[in-house]
Amino acid sequence: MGALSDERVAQYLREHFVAAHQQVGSFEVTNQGGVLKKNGGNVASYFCTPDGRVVNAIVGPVPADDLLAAAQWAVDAYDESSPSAADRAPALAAKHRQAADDLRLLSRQVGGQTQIHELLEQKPLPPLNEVYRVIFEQILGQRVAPRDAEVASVVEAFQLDQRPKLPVLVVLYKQGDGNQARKEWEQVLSRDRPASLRLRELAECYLVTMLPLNRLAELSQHLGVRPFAAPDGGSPLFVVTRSDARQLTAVTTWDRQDELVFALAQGAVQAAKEEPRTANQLARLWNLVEPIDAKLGEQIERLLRDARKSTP
Amino acid sequence: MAARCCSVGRWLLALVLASGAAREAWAEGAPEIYGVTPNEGAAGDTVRIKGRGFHGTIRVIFAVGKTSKDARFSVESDDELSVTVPDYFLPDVSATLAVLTSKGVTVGMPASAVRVDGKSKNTPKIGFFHVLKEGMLDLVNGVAVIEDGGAARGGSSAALQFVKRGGGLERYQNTSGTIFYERGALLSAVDGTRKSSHEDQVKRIEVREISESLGIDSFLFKAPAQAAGEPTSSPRIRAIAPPRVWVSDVVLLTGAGFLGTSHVFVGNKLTEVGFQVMSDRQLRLVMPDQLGYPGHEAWLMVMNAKGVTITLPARRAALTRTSNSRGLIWPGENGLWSVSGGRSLQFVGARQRVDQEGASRASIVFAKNGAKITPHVPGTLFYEPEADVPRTAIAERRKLYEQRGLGEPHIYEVEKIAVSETALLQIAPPWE
Repeated sequence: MGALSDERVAQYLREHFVAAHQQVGSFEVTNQGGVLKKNGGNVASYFCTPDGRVVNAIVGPVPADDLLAAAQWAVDAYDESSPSAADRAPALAAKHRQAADDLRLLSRQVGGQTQIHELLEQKPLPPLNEVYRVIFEQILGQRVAPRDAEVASVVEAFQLDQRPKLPVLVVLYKQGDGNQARKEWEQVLSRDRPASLRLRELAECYLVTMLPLNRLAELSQHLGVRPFAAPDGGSPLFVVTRSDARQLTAVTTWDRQDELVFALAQGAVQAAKEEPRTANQLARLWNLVEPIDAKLGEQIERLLRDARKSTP
Repeated sequence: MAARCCSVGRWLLALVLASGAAREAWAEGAPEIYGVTPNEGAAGDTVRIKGRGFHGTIRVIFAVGKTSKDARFSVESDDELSVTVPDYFLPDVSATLAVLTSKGVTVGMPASAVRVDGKSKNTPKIGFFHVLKEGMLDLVNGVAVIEDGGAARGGSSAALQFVKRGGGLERYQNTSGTIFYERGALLSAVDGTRKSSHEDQVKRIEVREISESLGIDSFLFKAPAQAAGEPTSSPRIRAIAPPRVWVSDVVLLTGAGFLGTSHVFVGNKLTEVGFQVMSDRQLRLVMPDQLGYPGHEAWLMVMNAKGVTITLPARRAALTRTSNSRGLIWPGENGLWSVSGGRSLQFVGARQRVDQEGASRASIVFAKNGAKITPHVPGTLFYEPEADVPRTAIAERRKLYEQRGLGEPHIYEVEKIAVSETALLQIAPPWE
C-alpha cells in the first residue's frame, strides 16, 4: 500500500493542504492482464504555500511515516516562522539548516532529504517552478521529460472530426524515434506477402499514429482513459482503439503479423458496429474481413441484415 | 356471418401491419455492449449501457469476485439500457458486466483480457480470460469466455463463466456462481473424475448464443453516499435483519453509534464488509465472498473513531448450547471465547495479563484499559488507549507490512471496546 493510501496521511493532508499532482517525468506503464506494470519513473512531494512556494519537499516513494513527518515538518516550520513575509524566509532557512545538521548527525551519508534541506536553506521558499527541476534531476536522478509534440499530435488525431469515425492504431515503440518506427511500419506494409497486403488494406480503415511507449502515461492522462492494456512486455505495442480512444485490443512485436491482421480486422468490424456505415461500406468491409475470419464476416452480414430491416 | 369474419380478419391484419410499421428493428442474435456511461459509480446511481440487441433483456449482472448482483434496468431502446447500480458498498472494486436477453448473453470483455491459446505459457492466475481453440486454462480465478476447442478447469472461480459450443469447463465449484453455456458445451468432468457435491449447486443457464463485448472495461464501484456526521459514541448493534444470510445479501443493522463507521468486519478471517451508513441508528451491509461455511455462525464487528463493537451471544444463552455442534461460538474461562474451527477471541480486562502463550492461542485479542499484553503481539489486536501493549513491536510490525506491501496489519487502537449481545449471523445459502 502506498503512503498516500494511509489513513493518517490522508487525514493530515486533507486538514492542512490542497493536494494536486503533475507528471513531469516519463515512464513506461502498461496494463498486463488487468495489472498495471510500471517501469522507471519516480515521485517527489512538495509542501507549498498557497502561492506555490516550497516550504519542504521529500523525494521517492517513501513510507507513510516519512511522508507524514515531512508534511508535519512543513506545517510546523511555517507556523513557527515569523508572520511577516520578509522575516519568514530567513526563519525557514534556519530551520532547514537545523534539520540538515540533525540528519547529518544521524547518518554519515548525505541522503536526498539532507540535500533538500540544504537546497532550501540556500534558497528558502522558492517558487515550485524554479526548484522542481533541480530536485527531480539532481537529487532524484530522474530526467524531466521535454514537452512532447508527439503526444500532442496523437491527442489531436483522436480529436479529429472524422466522417466516418475511424478506429485508431497507436504504435508504441521502445527503441528509436517516431520516424524510424513509421519507416519500419511502411516497410512491413510494402512487403510482397499476403499478411502485408492485408495489413495495407486494413490500415486504410484506420488512423495510424506513433508514440514512444514511455509517453503512454501522459497520453492516457490527456485522453482521460485508463492506461492501455498490453498482452506482454514486447515492443512495439500495437494498440487498436475506438475513435474515442477506448481500447479494443492489442498485439506486440513486428513478428506477429497474423495476430495484428486479425486485431485490425476485429477493430474495423467493431467500429462498423458502433458507428454508422453505409451498405456499400459494409460490403467492402465484408470483402476485407471474411477471408481473415469467417465469424467476422458473419458479423458484417448480420449488420447488413439489421441495416436492411431498419430501412423503411 | 362469413362477411363479418372477413371484416374482423381485415381489422386484425391492419392492426398487425400497423404495429409492425411502428416497431423499431431489433438486432439479431446475442446482445452486445459498446459502452457504459459513466463507467464508475455508487449503488443507486444510474448508468447507460449502449450497444445492440437489448430488446427482451432479462437480467443485467454486475459480477465482483465470486459474487454477482442483479441490477434494476429499463430498456430504453434496442440500443440502450438504463441501469441502476446495484447495492455493493466496497469502494474501488471492479465489476464485470453481463446482459442476458431472450436471444443470448453478452459479457463485457476488457482489452486487458488474457488470451489463452495452445501456445500460452505462464498464464496469470487471476484476470479475465479468453480461452481460444486448443487453449487450456488451469485453476480459473476470474471470468472466462471459453471458445470452441478451448477448455478451463475451475478452482476457486469467479461469479460468471461463459462456455461456447465445443468449449469445456470442469470442476467449477463456486456455489454462488453461474455458468452460461451454449448447447454443445462440455460441462462434465471431462477428465473422468467424479463431480464434487458443490458442483450440483452451481447455476447453469443454457443460452442460444454467447457474445463477448470487446474492449469494455470493468465497472468501478465508488463508495455509496454515507449519512454525514461525527460519531457521538462507540457503535452498538441491537438487531440484524435478516439473521440468515449468504454472500452478496444485503443486511440491515439497527442500533446506535453508526455515524462515522470506518470498518465493518465479519467472521474469523476479519473479512472487510462494504457498508452504507443510513443514519446513526441504521447501517446497511453487503455480505462478502469470504463469509464462512454454510451452516456456521459468524460475528460482526463495527468500528468508528469512538470504538469497536463485536456481536456475541449472551453468555448464559451461549452456555446452554452444545459446544460440539458446528457453527457455535461458546464462552470459556478468563474472557476466552472459542469458535468452531479452532479459532478464539480473548477479552483481556483491567489488571489481567496475556503472555506469549495466551496471545498466540487467541486469534483475536481485545485489550481493555489496564490490560497487559506482553511481549508478543497477537495476530489481531484491538486495544484501548490505556492498555499496556508492546508499542515498539506494533510499530515494527506496521513497518514490516508496509515494506512487504501487505497493507495494514489488523491492529487497532480504539477508544472503547464493547460487546453487542445479539444473535450471530447464520450463514445459510439459498438451497438450505
